[in-house]
Amino acid sequence: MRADALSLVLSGLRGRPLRAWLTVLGVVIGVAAVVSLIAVSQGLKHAIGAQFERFGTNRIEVMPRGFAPPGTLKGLTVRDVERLDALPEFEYAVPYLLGRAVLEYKGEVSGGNIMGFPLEYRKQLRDDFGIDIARGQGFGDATSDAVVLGDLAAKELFESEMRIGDNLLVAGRKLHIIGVMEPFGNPEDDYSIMLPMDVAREALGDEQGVSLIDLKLKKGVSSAAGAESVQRALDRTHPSEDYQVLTAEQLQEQFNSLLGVVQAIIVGIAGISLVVGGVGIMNAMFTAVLDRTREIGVMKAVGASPRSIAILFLMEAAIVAAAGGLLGVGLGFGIALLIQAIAAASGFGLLTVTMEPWLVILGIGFAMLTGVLSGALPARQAAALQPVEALRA
Amino acid sequence: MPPVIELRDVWKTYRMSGVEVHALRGLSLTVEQGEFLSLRGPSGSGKSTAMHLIGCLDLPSRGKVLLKGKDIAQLPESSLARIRGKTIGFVFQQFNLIPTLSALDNVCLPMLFQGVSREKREQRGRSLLERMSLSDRLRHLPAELSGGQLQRVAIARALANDPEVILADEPTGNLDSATGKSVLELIGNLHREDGKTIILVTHDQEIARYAKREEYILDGRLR
Repeated sequence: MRADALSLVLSGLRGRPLRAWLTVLGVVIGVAAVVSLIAVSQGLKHAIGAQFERFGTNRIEVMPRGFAPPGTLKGLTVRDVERLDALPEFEYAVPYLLGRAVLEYKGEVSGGNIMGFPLEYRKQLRDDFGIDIARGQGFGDATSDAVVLGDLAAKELFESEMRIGDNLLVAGRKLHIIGVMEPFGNPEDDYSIMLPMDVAREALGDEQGVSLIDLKLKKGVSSAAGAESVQRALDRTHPSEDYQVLTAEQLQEQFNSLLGVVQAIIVGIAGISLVVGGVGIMNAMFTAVLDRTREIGVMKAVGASPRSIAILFLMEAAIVAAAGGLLGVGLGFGIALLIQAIAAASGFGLLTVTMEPWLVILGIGFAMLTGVLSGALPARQAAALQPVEALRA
Repeated sequence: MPPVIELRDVWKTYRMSGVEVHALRGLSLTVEQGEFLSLRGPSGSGKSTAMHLIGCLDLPSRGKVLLKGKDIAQLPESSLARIRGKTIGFVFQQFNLIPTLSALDNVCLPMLFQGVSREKREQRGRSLLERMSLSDRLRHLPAELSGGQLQRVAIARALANDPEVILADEPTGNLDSATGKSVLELIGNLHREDGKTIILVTHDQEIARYAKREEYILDGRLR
């Protein structure tokens, strides 16, 4: 009976193709919205997770407090670095100086983000911070006039791509390009240019300032204990707390809770469109019951029980919903991949969307649930019709 | 053995915008197995209402409708659906075929609701349509068939579950007289060759004469 009812329902839908497809479309939009938004926000979560994995859990960052692009805030100095370096909780403290400088390559002038760091920490840079070199070499045995480029900085800053072995003028000083880093997947890092600290100080005209201090925790020291120790050490010189201490755990927690809120809102909005799709199904099914009152009467006259009629209408709703769910999941992942491509083109290559099986099941399952719930009332109405009255319609 | 159909002092009252309308006023009628009966009456006489009650499409307001001795008012809707499917075959004036189903699928529909397997359904559907000389129209949709063909499909459908009773409500009402005559011949054959109990509802005296027994209904009861 089930398989036969299916073919009966299908031929009914085929008889009214436009209406059937329009109803399917309503579900497709809802499911595609849910699936694409969840897929993208999952991708975002993975991207942030990957960022923190690279950051490492045995690290603490100290930077000036405030909302501004990195490098534009001042407040920390080399004396703070010395004080922190002396703390027993840490293996070392690396200062960075960030800022914008005038660059010149093959006669072309441009502005770029430079990042100065002390060359004596070049080993730590590779071992602890996992900065990988894509081409050329790192600061391994570099001289003091070496510069290593971020992936996008190399490609985009000038008309022609910068080549290893060429010279780059930074604030008028001639430097030697020795390597290009692997892409990080976010434009902030990928557009940066790393160079020795003294070059950065000269280029930015800053003798004492520090934009960022990287601290490595000794084995067995928790990041919370490290953060507390940093705060104690800086309290005297920075009573107004114009700096902030960031630990990986804390940051990830903040990001995840923020992302959780964003995700909830997004899924809520997408859910509304799914509900709208459900209302569409309900509307279509009620119309179908009205439209086919006479058909229902005929079916009852030839022996259809109320149960059979209800099953037929429920099945129709479920088929419409399943078709909508299937197409919606496909379209949703298509949209997510498109967003991924757009993000990658804008430098956020870290954002990768994966076709997770649970999301496929969720999309189709939700569509089916919507369909059956929306179909239930019309199906009951159809089943309850009095045969003689239905025939008169 | 009880009569196939027995109506005992049956009343049917409708409320139409607050006014009570008596479609049947104490109709009593007994139909034995294998009879070919015509129920003739002018429009508004209650003949269609009587047919709906005999066909279990409706229940009486008062009195009893017995099918093979069973009071239909005592049966749940699911049992009535089963009776409509197995014991009774309807032929309507409006044909009442499902527009989205082919001729063959329309004929098979009553068997589907009785849980007959697809193979058996199609086999019987084909042979019934063959008997109606429609072997070349199996896959046609109702919209692609003429009035006479539609009514022959409907007769094939009425026979699908081999019911004991055929109820034909103005079966020639929408057909020209030549086509109508051939449809009546077919219905007559069901009585002669298959021994079906047939009730033919009509307003037309000439058509009523095809039956072996003629009853006249007026103002909701037999005259």
